[in-house]
Amino acid sequence: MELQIQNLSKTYANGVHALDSVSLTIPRGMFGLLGPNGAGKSTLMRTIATLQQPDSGTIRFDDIDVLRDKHKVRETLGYLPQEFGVYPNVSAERLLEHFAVLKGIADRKARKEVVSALLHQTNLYDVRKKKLGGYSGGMRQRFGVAIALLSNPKLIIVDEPTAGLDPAERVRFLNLLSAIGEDAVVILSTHIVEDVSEICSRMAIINKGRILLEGEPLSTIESLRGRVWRRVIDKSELEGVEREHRVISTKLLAGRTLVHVCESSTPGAGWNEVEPDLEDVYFDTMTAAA
Amino acid sequence: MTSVQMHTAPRFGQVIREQLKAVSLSLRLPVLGAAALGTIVTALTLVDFARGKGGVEFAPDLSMIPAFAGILLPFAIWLSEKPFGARLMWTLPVGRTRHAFAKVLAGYIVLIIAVTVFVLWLLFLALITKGNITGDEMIRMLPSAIVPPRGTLDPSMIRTIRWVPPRALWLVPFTAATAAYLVGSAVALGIRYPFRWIIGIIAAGFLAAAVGHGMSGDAMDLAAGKIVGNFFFGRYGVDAVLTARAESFKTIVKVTTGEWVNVWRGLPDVSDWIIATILWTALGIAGLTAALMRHRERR
Repeated sequence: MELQIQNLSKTYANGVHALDSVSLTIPRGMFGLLGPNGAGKSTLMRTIATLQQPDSGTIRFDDIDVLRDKHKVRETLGYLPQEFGVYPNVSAERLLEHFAVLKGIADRKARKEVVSALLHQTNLYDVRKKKLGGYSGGMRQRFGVAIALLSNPKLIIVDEPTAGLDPAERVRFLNLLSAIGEDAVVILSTHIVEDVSEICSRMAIINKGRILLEGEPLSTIESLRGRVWRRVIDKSELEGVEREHRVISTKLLAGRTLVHVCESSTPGAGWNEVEPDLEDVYFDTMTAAA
Repeated sequence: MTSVQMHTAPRFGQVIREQLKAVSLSLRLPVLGAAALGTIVTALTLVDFARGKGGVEFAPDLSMIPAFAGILLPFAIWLSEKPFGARLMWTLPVGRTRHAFAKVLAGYIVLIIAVTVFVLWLLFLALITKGNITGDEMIRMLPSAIVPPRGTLDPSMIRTIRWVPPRALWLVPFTAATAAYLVGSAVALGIRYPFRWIIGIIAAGFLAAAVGHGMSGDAMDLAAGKIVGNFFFGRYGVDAVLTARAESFKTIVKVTTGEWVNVWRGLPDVSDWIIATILWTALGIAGLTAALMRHRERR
């Protein structure tokens, strides 16, 4: 089971190249698509989810041509968009049943079983009678996952799901996602590096419509081992450091600036080698592409 | 995860039933509000009746409430599931056009039920207040359809006749609501930002009128007034659909004695109403078809 994307391109009417010859092979499991705002993540997600047509390229999900056989894909698709409209005065249980019918679960008994199981799985069973208008952000996202999981989909697309969630809700949500990635292709689109590092076995970094990096998070981190250095400097020194070294990220730390650079050998006195993490991979990739 | 078999697309009848339930649930609050308002009006009417005021007249053709409900309902229906953009419902294994049509149809069923309840409620009020349920009344008619200048009409020229509205006009609330709903659905489904367009057209109309008046004075005013007048009050205009022109035929004139008198300058014509209904319903169907086609799958 895998999703193959070949040379996908999309240019909007305003001239923005949202996708530029994107090619990816996504196997079963959790796949993280990482990129900043405006990188093309949502365009790619919407295209795979059969919501918009690309200008060129192909997408195949096993033997299904995603761009031509949209109905067939939708029979096995679970999609959680950034925003999904809900009926605020309807209970979660009722609305989930509504979507279950629209996803083709016609048999009433089977539908009730599925709805009950999904509400348990998403930890919403105790609040199933509560109106959706009263749900918190995290609860709504979990409800969105329940909708996406109806009819046992094999291709699941989750677009920026943790944006706006508090830390506790984010952890609960990621735990839920990691459990569903075993028997499906799950694509998690996000700009939050930790989302990918915590639960994804494969990833890609995208920016300005182009895939900059594709691979396993651990392998990409390993490729930076011995090359990431850290130093705390004053803000006034930053310009000089940027001239002399390949700065990949800067952060504020107690009023001073924490700088990470990527160099094959020690940059000099005062620099400490650090264990690279996925954030370093991300910033190194973005810096190289700039 | 439960081991559920992959399922094919639902049958269209199932989609319509589900949309009917979803639309009904989403309109629960407005319906409750309308029921509360209806209860208050009923109570006040009964109080008035008890105090000796006259009964309520059953004249469903004169109420524009069904038409307003028809024009506004589509916007309420599509509030939660906006038709444009990357929406969750478009990823379901139901064709986009069919899905949208099912929702429109579900809303129409809800509307007709609501209009039926409304008409029956009017009949109920008329019956319990011993009001006139046949709609016949004595009316004053002008000698012609042209309204004379103020203070020039001799009162003896006004004829008093008994007007018995054709029973067919009891269908006006249903046909008006239908035409309004079709037009409203076409706008809600077919235009991405409908309120911008509506406000824009109104603003453009005022601007054109102001410019026209500045350039050509009264001539432009007359031409513009004629166009707007015919659109709303013409033989097959908006009022013909909404009230069979009952509203536009009513007017008030000042007679030579200085008195203001309520008169009619014509009588609703059933055939004109039928033609207007057909024209506006056809316009609504054409608009809705174009709107549905806008959401068709693109290969």
